[in-house]
Amino acid sequence: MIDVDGDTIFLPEEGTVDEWKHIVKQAFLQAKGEGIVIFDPDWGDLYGPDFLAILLQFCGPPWAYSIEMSFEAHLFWQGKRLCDEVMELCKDIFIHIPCDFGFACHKYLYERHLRIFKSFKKNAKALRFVPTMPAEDDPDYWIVEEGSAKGTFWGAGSVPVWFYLLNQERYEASKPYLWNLAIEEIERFPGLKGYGV
Amino acid sequence: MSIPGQVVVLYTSSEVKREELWQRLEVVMEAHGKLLVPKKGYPND
Repeated sequence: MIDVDGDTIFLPEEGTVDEWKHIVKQAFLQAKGEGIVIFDPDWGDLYGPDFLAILLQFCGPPWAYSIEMSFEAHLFWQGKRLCDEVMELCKDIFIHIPCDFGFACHKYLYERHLRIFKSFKKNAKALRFVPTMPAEDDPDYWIVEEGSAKGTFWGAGSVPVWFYLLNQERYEASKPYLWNLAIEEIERFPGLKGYGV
Repeated sequence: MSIPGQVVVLYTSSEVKREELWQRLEVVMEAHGKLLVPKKGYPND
């Protein structure tokens, strides 16, 4: 029995992990709406009040699925770095899911991110020629310099991290390198945590 | 002090089918010690 309220799945009180995994998988396979959201996913050491959302037909073709992973402030309070652990996970996901691939990491910049994403969606064929785009090369993706934002720059809503689009050819070409690619957090500005690959 | 939340978003195109996506995602997640189930009510908690 799958108990679904909107996009939230409720698991039965009793059950094994395998039974629960089956329930969640079936909910995803049968989902007809936007997709599923798993609140409080089991993230092991990254556990926090987070969610994992797998959305269907996000923004429409050419994208079929959006896998969103939210990591709240608890990650930082635990002394964890997003890049160290999450990026290793994302790298593996990229390697194991063979398809055109988009990737973004941001700090609650949803509107800005969507706007830029949609501008690429309008010209889907051009995706084949879109190079990797470090955030600092895109005039719409700028990093707030320390002190330029009023109040805390975290609240300025302008702290993108990166956005990549990778087509199948780039994916195939990248795989041999990604296995051994070291990803580490770098600091761009004093007091501002930037992330780079 | 305000600490931002972080969102990582992966977009996949339609070459990958829904069941294949889930299976591959599950394999990768579990290899990293993460389950595609909610934490709350976890039987061993």
